[in-house]
Amino acid sequence: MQNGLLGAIIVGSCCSLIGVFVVLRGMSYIGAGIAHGCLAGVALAFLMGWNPLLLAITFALIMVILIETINKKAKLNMDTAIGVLFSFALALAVLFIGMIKRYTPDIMSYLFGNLLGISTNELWVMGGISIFVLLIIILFYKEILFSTFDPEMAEVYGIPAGLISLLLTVLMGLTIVISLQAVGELLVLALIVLPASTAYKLTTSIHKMIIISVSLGVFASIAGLIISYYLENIPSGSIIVITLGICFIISLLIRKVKPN
Amino acid sequence: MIGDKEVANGPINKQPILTLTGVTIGYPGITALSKIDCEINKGEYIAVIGPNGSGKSTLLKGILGLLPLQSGKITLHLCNEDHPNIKPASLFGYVPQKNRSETTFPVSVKEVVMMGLYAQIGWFRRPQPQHWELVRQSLAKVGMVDCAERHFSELSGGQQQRVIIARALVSNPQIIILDEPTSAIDISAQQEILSILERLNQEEGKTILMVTHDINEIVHFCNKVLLLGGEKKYFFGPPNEILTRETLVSVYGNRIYVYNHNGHPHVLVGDFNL
Repeated sequence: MQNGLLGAIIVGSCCSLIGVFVVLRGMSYIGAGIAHGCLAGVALAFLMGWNPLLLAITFALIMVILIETINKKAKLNMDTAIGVLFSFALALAVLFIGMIKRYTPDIMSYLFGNLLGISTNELWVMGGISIFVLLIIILFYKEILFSTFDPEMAEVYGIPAGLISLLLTVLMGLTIVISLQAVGELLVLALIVLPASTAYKLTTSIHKMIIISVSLGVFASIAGLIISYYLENIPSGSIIVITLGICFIISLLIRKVKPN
Repeated sequence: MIGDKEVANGPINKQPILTLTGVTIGYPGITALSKIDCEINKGEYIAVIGPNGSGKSTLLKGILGLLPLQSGKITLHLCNEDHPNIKPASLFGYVPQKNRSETTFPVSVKEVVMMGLYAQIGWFRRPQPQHWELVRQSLAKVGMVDCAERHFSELSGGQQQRVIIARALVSNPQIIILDEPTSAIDISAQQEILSILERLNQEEGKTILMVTHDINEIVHFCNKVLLLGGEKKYFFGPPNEILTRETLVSVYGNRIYVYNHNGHPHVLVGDFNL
C-alpha cells in the first residue's frame, strides 16, 4: 500500500504536469502512439523474459524518433505519421502477446494498471524519472512556454523550438513509461490529458493551470488507489480515469454557469 | 523625394541597415523568389506587397533566419558600435500573422511581452525587476500598460495585436518586421496599430518592414515599396515610382487602377472608367 501511495503521487503529479504542455501544444495523439509503442516493448520483454521497464523506455524512445523522422523526412503530417506507427506498434504488441506460451497475469497490469502491484525497485525508477522530468521543465520553463505559445517567434529569438518540442515528446514518453504500471497502457493518456484539460477550462493563468492540473492528477491517483484497495478486482487505472472524467464534466458545467 | 522622409532625429540616415544581395529563397524543390537585390536604410518604412503566393512571407522568413537562402546574401549592418556583440534577436522585432491558436493560451499580457526578452535573459535564468520595467515601458508605447495584469485571451483581436507589437518592441530592436499585422481585425483597431507604427517610425526612428495586402493604408507613411510579382519579378523604390498602373497591372492584372490622392498614389481594384 505504501509503494502504491507513493506511486500514485509520483504518477499523478508527473502525468498531469507534462499534460499541461501536451494539451496546450495539441500533442495528445503523439502520446497515444508512444503508449502503444511501450506496450509492444513490454510484450516483447515478457516474451523474451527481459526487463519490461527497460524495453518500454527503449520502445518509447524509438517511437519518438520514428514519429519525428516520418514527419520530417516522409513529409507526412504528424497525424498521419502517428497513425501509421500507432497501428504498427499495436500490431506488434498483439503479435508478441500471442507468441507468449505461458500465462502471464502481470501483462494485464500493464494494460489496465495496478498501483498496488508496484515494487520498490519500480518505485525508485519512477521517482528518478519523475524528478528528471520535473527538473527539465523547471530549467527550461520559459523556453518551453515561449515555444508553445509561438514557435515561429521563439525561433526568431534564438530558442530552438523544434528541439524543445522533441524534448517535450521525450519527457512525455518517459512519463508514459513510468505510468504504465499505475494506470495501464490503455488509460495512461487519460491521466495526461484529463487533468490539464479540466484545469484549462477552469483558469486563464498557466500557473494556476499547472497547480490545478497537478492537484487533480494526484487526487485522482490516490482516489484510484484507495478505491481499488477496498474493491478487489477493480483496476486502479479505471477508477483514476473515471474520477478525472467526472472532474472534467464538472469543469464544463462550471464553465457553462460561469463563462469567465 | 519621397524616399527622404523627415523623422524626429532628422532626415532618414542613408546608413544601410539591411542589404539583400542576389537573394534566392524558397522551399525544397521550389524557388519562391529569385535574385532579389535591395538596400534598406536606417529609419525607413518599407511596405512589402504582392499577390498571394508571391513570396512576401517567405522573404520575411529568410530575413529572420527561419528559412535558409538558396543563394545570395542578407547582410545586417549592426549600427550600434557600442554593442558589437549585439544578437540578431535584439536587432529584429517580429510581429507574425495573427495566430488563432495563441488567442486562447492561458498567459497574462505582461507574460506575453516578457517572452520578447527571454533571449536576453538567457537560459536557466528568471526575469528580474529591470526586465519587468522594460515590459511596462513597452506596453506604454502601445497604450496597453493598464492591461498588463489581464489575461491575453480576454483581450480583443486588436488589443492582442498591440500586445504582440509590444513584445516585438521590448528588446528595443532596430528593425521591426510585421507580417500582415492588420489582417483579421476591425478597421478601428487597424488604424490604432498603423498610428502606433507611424509613431515608432517617426519619433523613435525605427526601421519598419511590413507585409500588407492593403497598400492604401500605409502609402502615406512608407518611404519605399517592395512589390513582389512572382519568382523573378520584383520592383523596389519610392511609392510614386512603384505604384503606377503599368507596374501594378503587370503583377495583379488588368483590373487595377491608380489615381493621385493628395499627392499619394491610391490603388483601386475593379471595373472603373477613370
